[in-house]
Amino acid sequence: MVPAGFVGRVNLTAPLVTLTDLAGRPGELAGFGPVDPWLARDLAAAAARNPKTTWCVTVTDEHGHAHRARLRPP
Amino acid sequence: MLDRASRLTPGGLRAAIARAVMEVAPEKARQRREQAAKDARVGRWLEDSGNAALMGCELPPDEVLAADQRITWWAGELKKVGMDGGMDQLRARAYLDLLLGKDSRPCPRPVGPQAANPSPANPDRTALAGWSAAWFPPGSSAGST
Repeated sequence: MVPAGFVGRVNLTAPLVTLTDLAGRPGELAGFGPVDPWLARDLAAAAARNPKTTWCVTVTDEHGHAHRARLRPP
Repeated sequence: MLDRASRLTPGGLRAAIARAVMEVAPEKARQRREQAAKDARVGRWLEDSGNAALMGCELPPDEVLAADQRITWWAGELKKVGMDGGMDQLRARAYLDLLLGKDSRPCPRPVGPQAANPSPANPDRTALAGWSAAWFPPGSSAGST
């Protein structure tokens, strides 16, 4: 048997307006590509239930360029 | 998007188009994904070389990413003990190990029936036979679909 000891990590980037259901903009799964807003919300909700999840809030300008990022504990 | 298309890789262009389509019609994108998920399947076929292929389609992307990471992790463990082959080969071995519940790492001291009657010719198939016996109870049609 393959022993235990593996923890996977999925990186999801999603606009705050999508996560708060104010708009339906797509998210992005690192290593894959864009995901529709409903899947982004479902994945974020699943991540929120996992105590090992880490969150990073990134402020962007109107062109989508990042200005400031901050890691937040779960 | 068109102004940066020439600077994108084929994969990047594909992702940019998918993103643009989702921006315009997110509900359609959701319907397409949910409809396609009903066609989730695993396929197997014989390749021209005589080897075989095994592939899953229309699976949840997050679980596919996690599964892929797990394959890479186990391939790394196989590499650490000095198993032959590049990462592609080791990932393929890891893929089967994880699906079959096997550990392909060479065992320094065999235990159980194999210790008394080792089968150096093909230890993998010996392990598979043991797994099949464990998975399919006596009297069942093991291996049939």
